[in-house]
Order: sequence, then C-alpha cells, then structure tokens
Amino acid sequence: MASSSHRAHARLRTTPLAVVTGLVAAVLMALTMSGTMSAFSASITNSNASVSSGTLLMRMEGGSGATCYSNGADKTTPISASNSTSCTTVNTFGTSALVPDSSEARPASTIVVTNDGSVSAKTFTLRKADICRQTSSGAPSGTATDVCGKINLVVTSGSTQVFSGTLQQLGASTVDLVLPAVAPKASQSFTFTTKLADGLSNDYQGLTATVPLTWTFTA
Amino acid sequence: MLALGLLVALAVLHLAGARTFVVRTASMGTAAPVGTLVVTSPVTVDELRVGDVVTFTPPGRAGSTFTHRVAALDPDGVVTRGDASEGDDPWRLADADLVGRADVLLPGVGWLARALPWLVVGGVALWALTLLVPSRTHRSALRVVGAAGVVAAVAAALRPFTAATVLATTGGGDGRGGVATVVSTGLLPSRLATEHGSAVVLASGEVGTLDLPTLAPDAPPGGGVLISIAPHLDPAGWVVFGLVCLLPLVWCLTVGLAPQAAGRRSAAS
Repeated sequence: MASSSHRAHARLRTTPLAVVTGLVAAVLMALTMSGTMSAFSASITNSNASVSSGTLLMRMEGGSGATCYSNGADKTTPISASNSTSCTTVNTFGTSALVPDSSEARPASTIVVTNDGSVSAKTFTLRKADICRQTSSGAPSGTATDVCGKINLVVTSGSTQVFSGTLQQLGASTVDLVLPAVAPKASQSFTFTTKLADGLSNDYQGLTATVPLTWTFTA
Repeated sequence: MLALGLLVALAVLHLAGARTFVVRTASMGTAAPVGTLVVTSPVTVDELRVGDVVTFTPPGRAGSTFTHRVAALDPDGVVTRGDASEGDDPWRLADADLVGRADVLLPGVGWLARALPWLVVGGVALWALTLLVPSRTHRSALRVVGAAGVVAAVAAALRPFTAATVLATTGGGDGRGGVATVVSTGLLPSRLATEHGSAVVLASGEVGTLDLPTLAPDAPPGGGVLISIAPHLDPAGWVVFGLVCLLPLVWCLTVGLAPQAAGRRSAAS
C-alpha cells in the first residue's frame, strides 16, 4: 500500500483522462446553464387554426350599458396573470330606490355575462365576496340597522331560479351558486329582482345594502 | 457547515414567528421573480401600509398562499395586487388571512432551497453507485462527470436559469397572427424569439410582448408557435458563465483524479 502522503502527491491532474473528464463535465454544465439541456420551449396552442392559447375572458354588462372585462380593461388588452377585476360600474342589484309597498312593480335588473375567451368555461360560479353591509345613502336617513334582512332578492337565469332569499342570507352563505356553463362567445343573462319587505317603518329610509359578488369562470 | 448554519438560522427565525416561502409564479414581476425566497414576520392589518408586500391565504382559498403588494387599505379589508397584474385581487383580507409581511425577498435563493434536496439525493446515489467501480481513478472520474450530470438533471427539471411563461395571447384581426405576453421566470436575463416573428430581452421577472408570425392558411389545427429562449448576457456575464461551466475542468486540473493503488499506477511523474 502506498502511504497517504505519497498518494496525495500523486493525484492525476494533467493526464488525458483528467482533462477529458473535466471537459465532459464542463460541457454538461454549459448545456444546463444555457438552457439547451433543459430544452425549454413555449408553444402556443393553435386552436381552430388561429394563433392563440385557450383564453377565458369574462364580460359583464349591466342594464345601463356599463361593461366590465375580467382583465380589467377590454378585449384587446393582454390578460393578466390573475385575470380578475373589481367591477364597480355594473350594479348587479339595479340602481332605482326601493319602497316598502306590496304593489310595487320594480323593474328587474338584468346582467349579461359573456365568455369572450376561446375555450368553454367548465364551471361558472357566483359567490359572495363579503357579508351584506349597510350604509347610509345620504342624509337624512333612517336609523334601522337590519336593512340587509329586509331586502328580498330573487336571481333567475332563464326559467331557473338561482337564488331566493334576503341579502342577509346571500351575504352569509358559504357555498358557491353553481351557474350554467358558458361556451366561447356565448352569453348567459341573469335577472336580479329586489323587493323591500312590506310594512316597514320610516326607520328604513335612505339606507343602502351592499353584497359584493364574485363571478368566476374556470376552464 | 454552511447548510447547517442556514438550517439553524431558519429554525431560530421560525420560532420567532417568521415563515419562509418560495415564489412559484410570476405575478410579482421583478420585485419577487419565480425562485425568490420570501421571509415573512407576523403582521396585523393595522400595521400594514400601501406598498408593503404581504403573504396571505385568501378567504375561501385554504391551501393556497399568495405574496402580493398592498394596493389599498379599504374599510372592508386589505386590497392586494400582484405587480405584474393589471387588476386588484378579488378578495379583501382581514387579520386572520394574513401570514405575514415579507421583510426579506431573496431572488434566486428559493431555487437553491428547492434544488438542495435533489442535489443531496443525487449526490448520495452517485457516491453509492460509484463504490461499485473498482478502479479508484475511474471512480473519481465518474464522480466528477456524475456530479455535473446531477446538477444538469436537477436544472433540467426545475429550469432555474432560463425559462419563461406565456401569460396570454391575443389573436390578430384575421385570427392567424397576434401578440403573446410573456414573463421571464429564470435567473438569467433571457432573449425570447419566435421563428419568424419578433424577439424580446427580459430580465428575471420582467414582462414583455412578442409579435407572433402569421400562420400559413394550411397550418394544422392544434399546432402553434415555438418560442426559443437563450441567455442574454453582457461580455462580463459570459466570462462568469464560462468560468462557472469550467469549474469541473478546473477541479480536475488542480485537485485531480485519485491515483490507482500503489504498484499499478503508471501516470505519476
């Protein structure tokens, strides 16, 4: 056996094997770091022979002509990573004031949701983003604190009733309302009918109930 | 020892309430590119300011953790938004949703954290397998090449150096060309190019657009446009790149391969 000090001095540094070993390993490193080894490529799906990956872009239109896009802008703007936006111009519940009258025939508010993307939305859900909150519409206003529980809401899609209950119940619900799937370029309209409970006192004047809603397409 | 020191430091930070996360998506742009290690400390809504970067679990999304910037402090909660996003996030955050404020963002370190377990496993496997090689010289040569191979395999799987993601594509007027919005998710500045279209140079986490070439009318459905990607470095960057790649050769020329057992060795001089 060679002594350890003898071996330490005798390591192979400039032999062909050492040089070839070093070169092969260096080439492996170069391939890795340059991305050649990882063979990166990003391909864009060509669906229907047009250059585009599948997209989901939600368009929401209110009765007043207000429109929101899920990318926060419009059809021509690139879709962001989150593809979600807060839409404050479309008031789902309509804008006219309610009065506690059983004979009141309030015009229903219609919301049209369109899939402006290129693939079908497999699921379409409506979820409340927060509980129902009450604010004053402006002075003078009533002092009641439970207006959320006094406004009844019926949501229908065609002949299907999606939701019926008070805004309080809508805001407290923890389940997603499952809506019919929407094909590319297709629309689904939803009718929101609100009604203030009959026989309320003047305490309920001038109050606003708000339930933020989140509409979600998933592919 | 360095790894041990890091582990001890992390354990101490964890006991103090700090948490660490590795950024997996490009939503925070250049502020926290993919592979950034995020170190958070506990925080309440009252302590937050607009512009802070927070880590949180959105209401109703248990299991998913996001790190985004505070865009506004509304009465009904904290509004967040990713730097690369065009709209605010749909949720409003309360104290219970917050994991912590991101105090330290360490770009690239997250890649190391993700790669380390695989490098250790690969290294141990390589060491064990090469024990079967009787020649000490061949064994050490295999170990040098194998170590580079392990690094290459892990890099090929994780793609930490050059990589990109297509965020969105919008078709042109005729539906055959268009624009792709892309983001670099690798550590190195990269040049992305389409075959007959445009090219763009992106830093880590940077978002850019690529014009897509118009497809031939007879292009098959389900085809697509290939986007090539390569490192885009300045001359000094290429020198460093070359030196790193040459590390195994430097090792062989300075440390050297193990000699054969005494008596059978022929190359000593």
